[in-house]
Amino acid sequence: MPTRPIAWNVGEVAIIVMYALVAVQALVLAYGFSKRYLAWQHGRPYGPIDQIGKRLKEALQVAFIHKRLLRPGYVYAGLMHLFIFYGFIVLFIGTIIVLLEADIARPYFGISFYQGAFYVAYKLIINFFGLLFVIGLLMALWRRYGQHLPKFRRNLSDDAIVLGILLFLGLTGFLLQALRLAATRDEAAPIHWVSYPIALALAGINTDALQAAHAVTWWSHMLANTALLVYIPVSKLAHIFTGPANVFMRATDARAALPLIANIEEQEHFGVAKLDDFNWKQLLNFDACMRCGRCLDFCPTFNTGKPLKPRQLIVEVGAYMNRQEGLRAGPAGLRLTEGGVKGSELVHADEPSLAQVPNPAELIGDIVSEDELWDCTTCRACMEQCPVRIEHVPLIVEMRRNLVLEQSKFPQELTMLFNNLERNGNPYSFPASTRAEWAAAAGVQELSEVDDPGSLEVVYWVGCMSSFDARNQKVALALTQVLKAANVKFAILGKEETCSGDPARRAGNEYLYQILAQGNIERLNQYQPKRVVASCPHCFNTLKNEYPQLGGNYSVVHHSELIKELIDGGRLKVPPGTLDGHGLAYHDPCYLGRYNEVYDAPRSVLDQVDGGHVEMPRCRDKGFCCGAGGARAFMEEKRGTRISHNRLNEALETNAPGVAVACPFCVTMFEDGIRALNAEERFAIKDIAEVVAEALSRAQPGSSAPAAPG
Amino acid sequence: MAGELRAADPPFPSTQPAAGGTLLGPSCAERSDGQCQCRYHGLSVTKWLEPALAALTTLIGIALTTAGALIHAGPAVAPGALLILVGGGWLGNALARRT
Repeated sequence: MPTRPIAWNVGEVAIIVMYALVAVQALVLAYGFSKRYLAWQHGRPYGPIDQIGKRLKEALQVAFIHKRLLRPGYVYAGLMHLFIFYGFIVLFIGTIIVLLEADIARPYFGISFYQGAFYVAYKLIINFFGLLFVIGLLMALWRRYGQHLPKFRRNLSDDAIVLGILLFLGLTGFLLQALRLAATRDEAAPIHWVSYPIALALAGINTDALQAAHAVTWWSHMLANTALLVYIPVSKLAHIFTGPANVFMRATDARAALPLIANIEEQEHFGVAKLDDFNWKQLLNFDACMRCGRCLDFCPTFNTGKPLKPRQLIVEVGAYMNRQEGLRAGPAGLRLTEGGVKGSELVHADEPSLAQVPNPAELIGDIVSEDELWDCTTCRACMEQCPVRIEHVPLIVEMRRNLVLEQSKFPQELTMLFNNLERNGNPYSFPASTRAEWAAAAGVQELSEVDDPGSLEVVYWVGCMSSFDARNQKVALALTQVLKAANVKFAILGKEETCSGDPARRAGNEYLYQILAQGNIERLNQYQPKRVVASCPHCFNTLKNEYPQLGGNYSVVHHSELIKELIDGGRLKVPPGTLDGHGLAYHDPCYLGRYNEVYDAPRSVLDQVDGGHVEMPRCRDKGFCCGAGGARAFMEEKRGTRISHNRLNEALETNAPGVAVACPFCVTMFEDGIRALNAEERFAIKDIAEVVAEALSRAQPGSSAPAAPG
Repeated sequence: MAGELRAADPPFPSTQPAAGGTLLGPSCAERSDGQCQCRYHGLSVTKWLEPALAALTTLIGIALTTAGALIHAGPAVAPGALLILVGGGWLGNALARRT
C-alpha cells in the first residue's frame, strides 16, 4: 500500500527545533499584526458595519475567486495571483494533513489515513498545486522584472524578498520529495509526478549523498518557511489578511458620495491633518495595499508625470503610520520610495528614507506634499481598479478639507473660485442674474414663470458651465431642442439655480458646498420636481448621490439616459444616420461612468443616431480622465504634461472624425486641447445632445443646429 | 456604535486608564517618563505578568514537544505544539501592547 515515512531522514532535534520555531513565527506574526491593529485604533469611529452578509460575500469572492483581481485586462496578473494563492493554500493544507496524521491520528487513535488511495490522491493533488505555485511565481517574477512596466521600476527589494522566499519554498519542496524518492527507491515514485523526473535524474547518486542533501534541503526549507512567516507582518504580504478585511469594511452606502461633515457650524476641526484624524477604516486602507500598481494604470496624474501617485501615497502614509506605532518596517520597507516610482523619474539613491523624515513629521508636508493633494482629479480610476477596494479619493479630499477650512492653504486660483461661488453662485464672475440669458433667447421657461410646476415632466438642471460658457451654451440649446422635439414638458430653475457645489466640495471647501447645496435643496423642494435631468455629470452626481445627505431626495437622470429613454420609448424620432460614414469616438466622463456606472446609455444614443461609435482603448471603467474633475478645471496644470492632451491623442489615434462626450467640463478641456494640438479642423468635439440635435436638424430640412446667443 | 473598533470588548485590553479610576493615572502616552500609573505600568508585578505567563506557556509547549520527540511519546506533541502556537501569539501581542 503506497505511503511514506513521515519525518524520514529527520532526527528528533530537527523536530524539536521545528516546533520551537513555531513560537518565533507566532510571536512575530502576532506582534506585527497587533501593532497594526493598535495603529488603526488611533483612528476616529467608523461605521456601522451593516449588511454583514453582503460584505462577507464580497470579501470571500475577492479572496477565493479573485473577483476583482482576475478581470478583463488583467488576465495574466489575475491568473498569476490565483496560481500562487491556491498553490500556497493547498500546500499549507497538505502540511496540516501530515501533522494530523503524525500528531493526532496515530498517537491518539492508533489509525493511519496517510496511505493507500488517499495517499495517491494526496500526492497527485499536492504535486499539481505545487507546480501551479511555482508557475505562478515565475509569472510574477517575469511581470515584475521582465516586462519592464513603468509602474514597477525600482520596486525591487520587497518583491524580490517575497517572491524569492516563496519560490525557494516551492522548489525545495519538490527537491525534498525527489531526494527521498531517489534515496528510498520508492515504488510509488511515479505518483509524485512533478518530482519523479528529478528523482530519476538523481538515481545514480549514492544513498549517503542523497540523504545528506535531503537533510540540508530540509533545514533550508524549514528556515525559509520561518523567514516567510516572520516577514508577513512587515511586508506587502500583510495584504493576505488586511486586503480581504479592507474589502469587508468598505463603504457600501452611496458609492459616489463623499462623507458629510455633519453640524459643520459646530465643528472646530476639519478634515485630516494628522493620522488620528482619519477614521480607523481609512487607516486600515494604508495597510491593505498589495502594491500591484493597478491604481496607476489609468491614473491621469501618474500617466502625465505629476507628483501624485496613488500607490505611493498609500504606501508612504502606511509606512509612516506603522513607524508611529513602533513597527519600523511598514509596507514600504525601510525606504519611503520603495512604493514605486517617484514622479516619472527613476528613484534616486538619495531619496529620503524613513529615518530621514523629521520626527515628529507632519502628515501634510513631510509625508504627503500639497502638490500631490491638489493634483488629484478625483476621477476614481484608482478606486475602481484597486483589487482590495482602497478608497483613495476620500482620503485626499479629507486632507484638502483640512488645508482649506483650517489652514487656508490652497492654490491661488481657488481663491477666485471660492469668491465667485460665494458672491455669484457660479465659479465665474458672471452675475447670478445673467444665468438664464441663454434660455430667454431660446424661449425656455424658468420654473418661477410656470403656473403649474407639477405639470412638468422634468426640471432641466443646466449647471454653471452650460449657463455661462458660450461653447457649452450650445449643448444646453441642443438639449432643449431635443426635449422640445420629444414634446417633453420641462423648465429650468434659471436665476434660482446656483452651482451644485461639486467643485467646492471636491476642493475641500465643505462649508461652501453645504451653503450652496442647502440653497438649491430649498428651492428644489419648493417645486417638488418629478424628475431632474442634468447635462453635467458633476451636477448629476451631486444631486443624485450627495444631496440626500442634506435632505434633497430627487429622481435625477443624466441627459444621455433621458435621451435614450425618449428614443427607446418612441417619443423622439431620430433618423439613423452616420457622420461622414464614421462614428465618433466616445469618451466616458468619470462622474458619469465610474461614479454612477452610466456607460451604456450614451453609447446606445450614439449607435442609434450616429450609426455607431468608436471605442478608445481606455474606456468604460478603465476610461481616462479629461483632467477637469476635483476642481482641477479651475486650477492651472503646472506639473507634468497635459491630461487632456494625453486623452485627445488617444482619441485622435482612433481616426474617428471627432469625439463625443457627455460632460461640459470634458467639452471645455477637449476644445482647449484640440486647439493646442492644432487638430480642430479635422477633429470635432461634440456633446451627445449636439449629436442628436444635428440628426434632428438633418431630418428637418430648413432647421439648423442651435447656436449660442451672442 | 456597531462596527466601531473601539467598541466594548476589544480583542486586546486597553492600555489606556479607565475614566475616573483612582488607581489609574494619565494615559501612557502622556507619561512616557516611567511615572505612568495605569494598570500596565503602575505595578511592576503586573507590568511583566502577562508577557511572563505567555512566555511560560510557550516554554511548557516546547518542553512537551521536546519530551514527545525524545521519548517518542506521541500524544505529548500535539498539545505542546498548540501551547507553542498560543503562547507565541500571546507573547507577541503582549509585547506589542507594551512597547
